[in-house]
Amino acid sequence: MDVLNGLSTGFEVALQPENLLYVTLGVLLGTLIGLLPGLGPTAAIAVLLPITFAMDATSAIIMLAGIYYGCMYGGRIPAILLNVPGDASSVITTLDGYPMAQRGRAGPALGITAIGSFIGGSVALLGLTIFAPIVAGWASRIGPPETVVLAVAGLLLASLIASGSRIKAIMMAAFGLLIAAIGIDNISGQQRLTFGSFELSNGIDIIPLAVGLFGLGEVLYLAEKKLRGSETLGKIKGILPSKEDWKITRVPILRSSVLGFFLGIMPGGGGALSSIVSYGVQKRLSKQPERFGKGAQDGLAATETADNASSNSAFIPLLTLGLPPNSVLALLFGVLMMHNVTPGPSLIEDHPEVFWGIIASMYIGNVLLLLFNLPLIGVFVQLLRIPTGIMFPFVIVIAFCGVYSANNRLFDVYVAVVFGIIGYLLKKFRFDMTPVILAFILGPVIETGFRRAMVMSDGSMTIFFERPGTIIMMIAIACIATFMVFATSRRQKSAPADSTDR
Amino acid sequence: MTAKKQRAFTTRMFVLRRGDKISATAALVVFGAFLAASIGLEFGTLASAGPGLWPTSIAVLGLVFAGLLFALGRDTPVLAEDQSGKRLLLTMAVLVLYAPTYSLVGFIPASALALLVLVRFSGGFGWVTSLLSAAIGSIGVYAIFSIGLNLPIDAF
Repeated sequence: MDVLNGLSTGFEVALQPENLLYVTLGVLLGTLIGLLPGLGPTAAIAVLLPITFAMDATSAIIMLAGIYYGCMYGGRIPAILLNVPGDASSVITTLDGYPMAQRGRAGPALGITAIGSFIGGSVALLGLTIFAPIVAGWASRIGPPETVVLAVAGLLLASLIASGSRIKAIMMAAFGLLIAAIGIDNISGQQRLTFGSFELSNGIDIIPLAVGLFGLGEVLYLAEKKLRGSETLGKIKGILPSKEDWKITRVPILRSSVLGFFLGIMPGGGGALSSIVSYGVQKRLSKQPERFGKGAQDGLAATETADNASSNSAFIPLLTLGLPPNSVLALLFGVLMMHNVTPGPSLIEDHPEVFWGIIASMYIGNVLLLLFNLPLIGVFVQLLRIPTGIMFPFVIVIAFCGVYSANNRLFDVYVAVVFGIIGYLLKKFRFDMTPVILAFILGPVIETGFRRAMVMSDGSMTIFFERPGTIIMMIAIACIATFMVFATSRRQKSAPADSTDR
Repeated sequence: MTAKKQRAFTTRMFVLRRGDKISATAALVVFGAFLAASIGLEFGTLASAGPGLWPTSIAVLGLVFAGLLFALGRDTPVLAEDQSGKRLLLTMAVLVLYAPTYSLVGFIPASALALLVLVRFSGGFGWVTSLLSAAIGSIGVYAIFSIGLNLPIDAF
């Protein structure tokens, strides 16, 4: 199916009234949740995921994708107005967004954020539209050894660029792989790692795991902090950037769109990393780097544009290879599997309405984000006045609803609580939780692929070094890993602490 | 400094100085448990792997890295603010007791109680705000999830 036909099919699906409603709701809900400090896109999707149970696969992903980039934008609002980042990737936003707000330019700062995000998202979506079918075509020719190499590489890269210690990140990946192995072995049908529990013989579901680690764990972590009351917020004036702002930001926006697009495809490259790398590049290229950190419009534009571009391009490896590059898309992978749709090379052929419907809905969602966030900014700002001491207990109640209604089992709620406590402790001891959820999703892919590869090679590991596809991948991944480790090392030297990706 | 404060301070310093050793020890226990659970399973051969090969390999990998963390780790845990232990324990207690309360009395009373306790005692708001939040929140969330989204939740 060529690109234009595919997009046409996609828009037919995305423009159906119920899907338009879902993407609108998703963008709004995502922005609302993103306003809450500490609850990033992963927690937002984990908590809101059960809303989509009654929907079909396409509608569910359309809504969750809307929540995803709505949440990314929502986190910017408290970052700019209050110097309180809503999630890890909005930490960089505070560096120049808040100083602009302090100088009475909160409106243009929010406007630059919205417009930069829109342009970055649009460029990334064009890239997604063109490259995704090409990658899917190539990916359909890969076999189990290539799948294993890609999945292991994805997990390893995400662990290497995780915030904090790499030893801890790899431990978290191992933990995620073991949790995924609980239950019944797919090939032999034997129970394993159930510790004698009948309930565990069904395995651990992704919803209690994700809600527990990212939702309840965060709530427990924030329970220790002094919850702020309602903020004193001034009126926002003049949302649109001035001509001078445009002159300064137009080139950084275009550059960051492309940079964010490529970073988003890489495992762990979306979100915080794309924001930081783009900010660093812009600062280096700027003729007045001393302005950065004091309200530089181009610094703000660079980080916001790259962030949204990477959020969109991250769908390429998910949809075409079945390999989620970050924790949010790992959850979306889980949702598709729940609806019996397997993301990967065959998705474009087996379920073109899902593949193209998601892409088309992202075009619509990108426009909606701009349409909502410019005129409705005043409403969102008012929501910041609702004390978090009232908002966060609601998160617990919603999380309970969601986890329980997934399988109608109280056992899942207990699992979520246990992982909530584990998530709290992991955060306290500075472990990044992203590798856990990625490993949980990729574990079955790696194990099944590995066992099939060993059957193909009669037990010889040389199969991974004999095939041109695996050799090329390993070389490419080694180069990418070197670049990303270098970029992350620079990030950890210069960025603030406590910037764990969620 | 009172004896109680002295003990709290000593505990805090112990955890701060040995944060990575504490977490590494916990990880060694967890990975050790997984190893013990998987070692009794059939390994098979590489050409025909049994159910035990994969989890055993990963558990060993986890143990190795936990050992490295124990030897090399130097991170300090994130400090909690003063007087926050009670809020944390309260929130944890609500989380742990929420499900059993639901099975006894249903969603609306269980949620109302959870919201009341958290808004009043963790959020520090007055009784009126807390009661209103509890009533509106429990009924509102039930309405959205059970009636609006048709998800299976028992009200009472």
